[in-house]
Amino acid sequence: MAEQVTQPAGTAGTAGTAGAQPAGVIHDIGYRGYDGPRLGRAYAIQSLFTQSLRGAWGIGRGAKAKLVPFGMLALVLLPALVWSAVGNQLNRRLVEYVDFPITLQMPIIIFLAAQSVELLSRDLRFTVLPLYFSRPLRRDDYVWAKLAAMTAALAMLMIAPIVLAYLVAAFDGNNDTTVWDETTAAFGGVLASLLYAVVLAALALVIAAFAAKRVYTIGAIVALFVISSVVSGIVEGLSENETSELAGLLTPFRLLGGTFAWLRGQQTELSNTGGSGWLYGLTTAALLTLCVGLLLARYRRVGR
Amino acid sequence: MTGDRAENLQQSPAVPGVQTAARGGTLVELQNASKWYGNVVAVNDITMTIGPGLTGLLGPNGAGKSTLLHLMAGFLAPSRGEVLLGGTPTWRHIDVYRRLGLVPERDALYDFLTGEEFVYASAKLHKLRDPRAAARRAIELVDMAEPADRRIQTYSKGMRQRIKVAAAFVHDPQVLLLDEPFNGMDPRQRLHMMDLLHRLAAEGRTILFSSHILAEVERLSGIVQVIVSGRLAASGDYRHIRRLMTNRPHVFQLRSSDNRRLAAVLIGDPSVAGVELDDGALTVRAADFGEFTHVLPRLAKTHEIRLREVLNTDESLDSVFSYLVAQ
Amino acid sequence: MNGTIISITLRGLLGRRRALLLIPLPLVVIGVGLLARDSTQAEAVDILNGLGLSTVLPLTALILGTAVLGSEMEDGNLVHLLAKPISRAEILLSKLLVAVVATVFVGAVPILIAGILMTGSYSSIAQGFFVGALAGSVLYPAIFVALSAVTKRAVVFGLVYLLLWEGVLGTWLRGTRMLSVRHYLLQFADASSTSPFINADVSFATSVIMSAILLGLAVWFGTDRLRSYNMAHEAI
Repeated sequence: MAEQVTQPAGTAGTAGTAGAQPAGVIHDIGYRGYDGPRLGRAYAIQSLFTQSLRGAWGIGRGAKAKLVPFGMLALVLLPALVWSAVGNQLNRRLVEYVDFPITLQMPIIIFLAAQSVELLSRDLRFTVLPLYFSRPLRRDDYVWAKLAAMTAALAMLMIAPIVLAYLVAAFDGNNDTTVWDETTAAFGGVLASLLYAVVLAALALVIAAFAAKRVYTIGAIVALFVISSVVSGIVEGLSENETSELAGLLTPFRLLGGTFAWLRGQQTELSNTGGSGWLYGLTTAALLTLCVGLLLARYRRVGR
Repeated sequence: MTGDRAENLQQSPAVPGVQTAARGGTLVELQNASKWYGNVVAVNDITMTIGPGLTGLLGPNGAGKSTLLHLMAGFLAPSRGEVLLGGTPTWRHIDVYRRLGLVPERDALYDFLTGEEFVYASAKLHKLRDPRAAARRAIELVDMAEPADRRIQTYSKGMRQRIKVAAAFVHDPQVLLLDEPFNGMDPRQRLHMMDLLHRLAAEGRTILFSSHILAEVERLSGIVQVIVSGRLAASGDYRHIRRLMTNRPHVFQLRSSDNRRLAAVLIGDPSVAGVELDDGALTVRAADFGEFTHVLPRLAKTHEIRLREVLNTDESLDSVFSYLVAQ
Repeated sequence: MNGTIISITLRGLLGRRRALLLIPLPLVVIGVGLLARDSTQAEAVDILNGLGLSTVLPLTALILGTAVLGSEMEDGNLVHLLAKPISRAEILLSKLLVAVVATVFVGAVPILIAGILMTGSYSSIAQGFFVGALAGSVLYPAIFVALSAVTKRAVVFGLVYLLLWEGVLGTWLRGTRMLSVRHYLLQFADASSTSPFINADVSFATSVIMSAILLGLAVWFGTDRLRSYNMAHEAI
């Protein structure tokens, strides 16, 4: 341990008079400035993306943080396994790949709600955003990185059951459909999942950015999805044919299902839009633009 | 005022640990108290008594100071041993809060209330007879009368600390526990707070505050409890502790009419371990403190050297502390 | 019941932006009630059950129930309330009262209004569901307030209970309905109504007993957790 043997008389704590004392010295203990190459903005964005994606899955944050994400993963994989196993026995697909997200919406909603909080709320509550923005990272970059991370996380969540079901179906020899058919169907499901991921991420993150508190964020997101879903069902039941097609516009999952059906040109049992498919597409595009716009606006204002 | 305070004021005992319960003063006692979380021992078999007066709880970050304060405040249960306030265990005994005020470290306050509303609410929750008056008194005590009707949201960090103290003090508690109270205060606010704590302590209250900033503790009180890695490393007046550290020579800084000659004379004495002559200052390491204090004036007189300045340069809390932490 | 705690909790709940979140919920219920004005009795029952009792009411209770205790725990403000010589039961019950009353206004009253709108008058159906909703305004918040005292992730666990246990499993596995608040509420609605369209799966006796047990457990457990409030970290 450091022995205090001499103290230059100029230090605090000793009453020194000037003149006879030695002058103060600053010692060179090796601190250096950094003049080397810096990795720049792109790397910063990529790092934020990776870190956020890991955070969305609770990786690197202790066991409890993994509880919800992996719990929900289990809750989407299990039904998928059951459907495909039973489907193999019955020789047909119980649930179409493109309908996986709608059918599995409960765990997806919970994942979405809980992990949006993980992505955004912490930075907002503890006002660390000025730290981010005093780096090469621009405000918009932050938003894009977070959006990309949530989209990626959701995509993983939604594609995993599709892959699982596909594998189970593919390994069944006694099957009417060809491998090619199964593959294209599964691929359709993957594309659908990507669409869902992008829009759902934007929707949830914009709510999280404005609600800031954990309870209210989760509550708002879940309320939005679940209540709109029920209302949509009621409206559909109450209205006649043309209007009932529009009922799906009211709730995100059906909206997206209808949009994908329109884009693909093929309706399914759960995504029936009749002739109004284009309206679904338009609404989706508008919703996406609105959410992203609001998100960018929010982060341009915050911390100023 | 609740009126159950001691009539005769108590001097803070020089060394807590020698305990006769001061009349009317409330003691905070830990008896073989330990607290662990799984494999991590936060508080390791600590026995100490905090009596009336001002005591500083000192330790590096992570030493267990906050844990100790939470144990004393009844917000943690000891894994072993006892934590008593005025003879009553603090865990799950809400009555202790009549006599206890806690100023937590965390900067958590009801932002949407004004300062006055917050302290007033605190007074009402303590079921005081005249909560408005008590609140106003407490607010004036911490010098927050002017901003009291603004929302806490608009307060600076130092103001938030002060309003916390007001709310903790509104019921005139016998014991006040403060967790890192000087965090975020500027020097002027710190002086004001120190002044306040001194005054409250002088009235016979038991006041304990924690800090890891030595400068605060040194100026505030001579009595410290040093916590290192969950263990109680030392208690008492830190100057006294310094003297107990016998295997470490005391360092003196001398200036005299003839430093060189004094150095030569001093090195001949067995109580001196070493001398160092450095540009007008003479540094002496004395192995035997007591002996040296006799030897120095005698030798100086005998050799007709005039002593201009004699300073005990490492009787600072800093050096005591670094010594203790390194053990 | 402590007036100061009630006042602080209420102010914290209704502060600024957050109150806005609570406005759409009753509006949606009333709005649907308006839309469905010409529905049959059977349809009205379905809507009041599906949208009101099973969706908006529990979600409202979830948000409010977890907010009255949870937000203070999250912020660290709870210590200011706990470091006072007030019984933990008093603290819990005061907060619960706020959650219950708020849920009545945001959850139960709109259900009544929607019921009146859909059946044209203060009908037996409207009354039944109002009673059920009132019961739910006590039961659900109690569960969620107690849950907040136990874990930091009360909202998520509450969601899992509502969406997966009561929702998905309740639909597929009839046996779970005995342990489902939703079905007790339906029974209370059935009992307070002469309408033949309200059919509960769980008997009256079971509902009363289970509700009483749940309420008692929630209050007792929540109070106990508050007594052992641990500054360092909470369970789960």
